[in-house]
Amino acid sequence: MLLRMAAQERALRRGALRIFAETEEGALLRVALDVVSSLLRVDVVALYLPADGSGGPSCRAVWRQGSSRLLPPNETPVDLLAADVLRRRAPRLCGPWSPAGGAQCVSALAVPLEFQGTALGVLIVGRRTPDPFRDDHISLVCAAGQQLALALLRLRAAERLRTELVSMACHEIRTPLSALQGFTELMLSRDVPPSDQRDWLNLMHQEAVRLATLVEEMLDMTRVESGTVRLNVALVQVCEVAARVVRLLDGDGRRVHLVIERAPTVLADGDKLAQVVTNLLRNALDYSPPERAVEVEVARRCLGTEGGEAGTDAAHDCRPAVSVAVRDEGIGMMPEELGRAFQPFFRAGASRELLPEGSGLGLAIAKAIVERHRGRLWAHSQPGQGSTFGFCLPAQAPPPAEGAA
Amino acid sequence: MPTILVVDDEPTIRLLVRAALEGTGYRLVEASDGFSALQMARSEHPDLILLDIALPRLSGLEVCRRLKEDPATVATPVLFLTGFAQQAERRAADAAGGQGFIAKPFSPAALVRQIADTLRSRATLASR
Repeated sequence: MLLRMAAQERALRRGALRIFAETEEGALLRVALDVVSSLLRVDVVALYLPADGSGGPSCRAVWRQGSSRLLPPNETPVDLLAADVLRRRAPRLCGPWSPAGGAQCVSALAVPLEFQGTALGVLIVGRRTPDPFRDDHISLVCAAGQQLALALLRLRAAERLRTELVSMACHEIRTPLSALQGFTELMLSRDVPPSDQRDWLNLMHQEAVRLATLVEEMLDMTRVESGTVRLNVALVQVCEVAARVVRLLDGDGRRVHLVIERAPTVLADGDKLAQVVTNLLRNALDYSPPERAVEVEVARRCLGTEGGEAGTDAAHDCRPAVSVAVRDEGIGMMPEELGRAFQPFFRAGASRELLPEGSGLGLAIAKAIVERHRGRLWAHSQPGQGSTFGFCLPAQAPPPAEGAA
Repeated sequence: MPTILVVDDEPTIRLLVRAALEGTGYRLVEASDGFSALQMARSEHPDLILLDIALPRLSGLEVCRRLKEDPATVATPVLFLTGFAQQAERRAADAAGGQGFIAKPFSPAALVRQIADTLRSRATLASR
């Protein structure tokens, strides 16, 4: 008995791994049926989900005799057993039960797909023979139901995030497209005075450039995030990278103060690192008045000094690290703006007219790059007092020189 | 002369709307964020409002809801002019009390037509 339970637990863990690997809901349901049918001897496994989160649960996936089938929402009538279990959120054993479009089962066990108070649907297993489900079967199927609920929740959250990103990207693209379509249509449909023509062409050119930058940066961000871009890693002196970026962005050397401490080297892609410093410094220059100075500080720190959440292990991480902080005396950010600062397309500031040029992707790209380097990007800000954006990368000492004692 | 309030945080879009409506005889007033849109709606008594959804400070949807709660502005038709143009956003715009929905990018000629239609149907309603 104990041995069998240990084997079942192992099977459940293996099954959970398979379920969590799926990134599409239909495929996930199919794998879930397969996993549950292999956990214990059953003739039917069926999953019931409410359509659009409301209404009664209808059968969305069913397994019988070794083959599984997905059903569109609301194709089958609402199952009364599933509806009852979803309402009461407790497992239920049932006498004769008929799955959607299948032969009657002598006994059935229905458990809610529930994780931390959120019930997403119902899992029902059935047998055509009169041997009943035991207590250990109930806890096993309940555990499977919980894993499946968690996997579904995660998948739906990721899906929402993706939809939101696509929606934001479409919005960002539609605005410059409006200028291109609108002004061309006007110029084709009526006689426009040459001075207006020139103004409009200038605007259209600006918007076309904005579109091109947007496309480039979106590709940049997704490439770094998905890991498809390979890092060209070498030992890098962060102060050299910072100094190079400062020279490029602050041509006459009047606005940016570079404060450099002797810092250890890091293992990083020098160009990507330069891009991070560039994005942070450009924000600082753009979001503060031109007469105000901006400070770039490169220093040696503990990895946990900044950016680790207070009270977590990360905050006490004392491994040596190199930190880069870019400090401005600009408009600063409200706490709620600060919380969203690293989100793609988020832009601080009251009105776009006051905003500098940019896509709103700079910080999201910087964050993706820093995290690919196992570092952390952080920010402090006070409205009216300026902002500090910085990052930490773990230090990497160069290998000892050949022949050294 | 009917007054139209154009609310968009993009100066380019406001300029485009201005160019599209040139010669139509409307008076145009502009706002670039949600709060100033509400202020202008009360002080300028526009006959129609073109409203973007993604606005700084206060979203266009919220602006529309507040306009519909205020007896002084409840009758002013609102046409959403927005880059958020999926089904869900259209429904949200309807629910907020918008009379119409124009997706960016838009045709200036179609915009002029829709504004004229909305003003005409409002005039017919008022004359009954």
